[in-house]
Amino acid sequence: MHPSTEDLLSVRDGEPLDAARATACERPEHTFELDRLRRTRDALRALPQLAPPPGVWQRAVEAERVSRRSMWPRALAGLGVAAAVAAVAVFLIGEGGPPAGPEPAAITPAAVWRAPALVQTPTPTYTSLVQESARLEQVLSQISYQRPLMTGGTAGTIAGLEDRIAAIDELSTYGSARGLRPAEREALLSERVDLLNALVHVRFAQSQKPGF
Amino acid sequence: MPKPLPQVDAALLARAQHGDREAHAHLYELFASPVFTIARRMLASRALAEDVLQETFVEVIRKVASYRGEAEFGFWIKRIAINKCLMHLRSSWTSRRTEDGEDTLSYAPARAAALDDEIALERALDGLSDMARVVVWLHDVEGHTHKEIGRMMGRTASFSKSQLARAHDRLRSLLQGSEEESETELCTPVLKTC
Repeated sequence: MHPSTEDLLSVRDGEPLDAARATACERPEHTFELDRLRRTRDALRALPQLAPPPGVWQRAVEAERVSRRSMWPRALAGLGVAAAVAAVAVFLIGEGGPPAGPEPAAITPAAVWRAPALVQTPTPTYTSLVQESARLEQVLSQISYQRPLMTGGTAGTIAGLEDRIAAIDELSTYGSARGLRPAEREALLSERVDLLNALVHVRFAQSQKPGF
Repeated sequence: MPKPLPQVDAALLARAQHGDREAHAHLYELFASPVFTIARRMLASRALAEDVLQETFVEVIRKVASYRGEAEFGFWIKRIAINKCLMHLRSSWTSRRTEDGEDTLSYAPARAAALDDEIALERALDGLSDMARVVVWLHDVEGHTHKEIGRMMGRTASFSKSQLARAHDRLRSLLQGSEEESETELCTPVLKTC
């Protein structure tokens, strides 16, 4: 049996591996590769820490002051996720649906319009939620994103959605420490999928507008 | 083991939680470098890493009062930074900015000879796909488990495992390529020493 890189990495990291694979990894002809993987990890860890560029702290303080002033609109934007999705849907339907032309990105309107499919599924499993989350992330990464041409409202909605996704990611990470039960973890993931779905719709609608 | 993070004493933290701007600045001094490093390594762009550094500390100032000590404070800040990085990677805006080619890690020529391996590794890391680079950094350097990485990225542990294996395969070929390159060339363009 020829071990894969994944097998060798499991041995390197002391992760469980079935006996036959583990034995194969320890054959002399594979020890060089195992050593190389260890050396690469050690070299990555030994890379130097980088000095932060000057002026970032001043900009952060200023940005925080500005964001504090616009906290209310952002909070409202975060609370209005459902409204945003509805508004985008109405906008797109009013426009006769997303245009079928090649601009602005490789993403097809059909891919976006498949996004709400999860809502129609009666009881999504954890695995299907993970898959849907991954699919939405992929759709999102393919949408042409015209950051400088956004209105304040769109920017606020996007920031609100992104903040809530980040908050859920943070909660999930600390899940073990907080004793989250599987059902609660699943509910969080489900909310994450809904938020990603909303973000896809908002970004898609925004990418269709040439300017304001 | 990942590099140890600076320790924050309780008095400093309490001041920061009460809105003391000097305490915030002190936290920035302590953590700016590790945050900038993780952002630069994960995003392979100095400009984006600078954005993440700024956004992370805006959030630190806004949320430090709600920090309850679930995790070590440095880890809490790092998690904010990692989330910001992942958020940047979700947008194709990222690819547009990193394609600008504005960013190459560089070192003073005098140190260059001693740093050949380091530079080769930096370049190889930058040559990975976003996903592979993030996974290899979070797993091999930051010490996160595949399960944790899967959760952070809304994926599974086995996705993280396969990305890590791909990343190492790609690093091997990139580093071998760079060895061959340095054997055939007397100087490399990035160093501009001759």
